[in-house]
Amino acid sequence: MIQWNKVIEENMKAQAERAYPFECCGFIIGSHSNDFEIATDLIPADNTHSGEKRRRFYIDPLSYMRAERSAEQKGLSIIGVYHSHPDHPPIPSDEDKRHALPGLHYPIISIKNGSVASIRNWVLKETREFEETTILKNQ
Amino acid sequence: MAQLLIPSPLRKFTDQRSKIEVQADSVWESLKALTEAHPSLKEHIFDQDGKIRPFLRLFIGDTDSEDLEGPATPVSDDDEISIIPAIAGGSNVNLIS
Repeated sequence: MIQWNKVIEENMKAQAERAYPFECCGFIIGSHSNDFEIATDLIPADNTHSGEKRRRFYIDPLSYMRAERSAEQKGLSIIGVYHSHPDHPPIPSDEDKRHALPGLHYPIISIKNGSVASIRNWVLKETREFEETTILKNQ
Repeated sequence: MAQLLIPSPLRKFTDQRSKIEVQADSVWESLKALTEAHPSLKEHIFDQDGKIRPFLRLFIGDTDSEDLEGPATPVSDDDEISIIPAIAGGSNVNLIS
């Protein structure tokens, strides 16, 4: 499970709508509780995919390195990576699975005709299969 | 010994350690040493053909090993090797009807 507040969700949605019809992406920073992760901030990232950004996203390794260092300076860590699926359901693709790591949350924001349709959250199990997990929302 | 810097998602496989010292002469050898010491990491570092998973990048300091000699890049005792996941993905081809 992952917990986030309304501001984090609204920021994620706004970024996804601004990026439409291209995919947006970014890091979720937060902490670990016993049973779930608590999101405290977002670090939006540039989609630097060299090809079709409507269907693909790529975050370069140096952006990851900077995000991880920034989180660790605050005593936090990267707990997830979000991205949008323009005019597609919020379900992980084979491409998502190929690049995913266990232990991170992967919220996917479905955008239809430029507006957010839904968000679903996924984690990669150690068997490298995706499993949907609950999003806890607080104020 | 060279030090491997472990990204936070993979620390669950290294007892939450962010730095692991390895005795190795190359980037490739350092990963082999790492996965021998922490076998549950192996499938997340190497694919079914035993190659380094393409979304993982190895940096020596701030230099991508792909700009050097790739996995064969020599490493010395005072090198820090960062394992960096290149985050990527995307949707399937068909549009929502």
